[in-house]
Amino acid sequence: MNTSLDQQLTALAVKWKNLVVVDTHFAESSLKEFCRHFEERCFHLSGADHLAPAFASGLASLGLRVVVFGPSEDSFSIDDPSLCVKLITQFEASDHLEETLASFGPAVI
Amino acid sequence: MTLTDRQRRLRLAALELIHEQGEGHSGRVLSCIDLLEGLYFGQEMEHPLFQCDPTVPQWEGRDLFVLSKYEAAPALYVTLKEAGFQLPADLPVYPDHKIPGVDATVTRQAYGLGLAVGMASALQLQRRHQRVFCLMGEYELERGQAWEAVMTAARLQLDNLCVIVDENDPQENPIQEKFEAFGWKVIKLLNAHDPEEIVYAYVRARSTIRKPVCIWAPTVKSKGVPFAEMKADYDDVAYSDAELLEARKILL
Repeated sequence: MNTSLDQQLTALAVKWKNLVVVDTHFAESSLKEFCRHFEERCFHLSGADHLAPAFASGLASLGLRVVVFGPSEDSFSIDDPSLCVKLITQFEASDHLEETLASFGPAVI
Repeated sequence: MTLTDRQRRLRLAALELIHEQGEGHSGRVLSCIDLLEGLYFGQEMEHPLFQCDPTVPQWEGRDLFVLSKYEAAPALYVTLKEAGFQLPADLPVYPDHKIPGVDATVTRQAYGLGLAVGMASALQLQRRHQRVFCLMGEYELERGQAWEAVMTAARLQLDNLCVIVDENDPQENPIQEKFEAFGWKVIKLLNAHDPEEIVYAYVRARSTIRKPVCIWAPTVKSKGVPFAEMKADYDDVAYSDAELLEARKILL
């Protein structure tokens, strides 16, 4: 993940009050700006790569838009694909983050 | 101790549903059905322990329930029906959030526990006062993902989370002590089929602050059907016509 994505997320989080991030140990040091501004909305799951998809699904089922950093795509799957969960792997840079996240359907409890 | 009328009625309904579906886990369903009955019908000072409205299944103020022990879906379905939820005739084998009253889709072991921890975290973030209940089987604790969830819940001090562990296959190693070691409050039931004891455990769980709660429930597989109780042959099957007839005589 690169710094601009951290800044991009931070800017998005101002606009989207329900945007949260789930960060595993791979990207821990990369989310400094987001976590400084939105400490409560940054969930550190250090090393918990297996937990991340289920945990993120739980957050999303309560109406949050969840961005997960870290686990490889191979090990990342959720039981309910309709939930607002977006995985961004360690080295991925998203040039269209807003569009990608906006493409999720409305989250409902 | 004899079962109550409702406990017997729910058992029979679950066995009939499994029989209808042609596959299922009869023994494992009957081990946990009283834990669900206590949750959905238990009261404290005449107020329901579990907040829900069967006429408005998506009510935003409801408590949330996650069936991590997904093979016990028939137990959840018959409990929801008894509570007044309108369920479709064709029910999926695993819990699916599209079914009224079912809050989460779960198809993998230990996944539901992680999902429940995520739900409880979201409620905490949103400053909402509902609670999350999660029923799991003790075998799910063999998964590393389960302990990642246990540690995360303790670190986040999720006192809005109550996990009920159905221990229908007792282990020599007392796993419940590990929950305590990670900072959870553990309430161990002596008789996990006694409705009063179950309800009292939920009441105690509610009053716990700053830590998640684990209700440890040593149950009996196929409880309530003597010819099947603790017999492995009945754990993971649907009853035959003759067996169902026999069970009906016992439970009616």
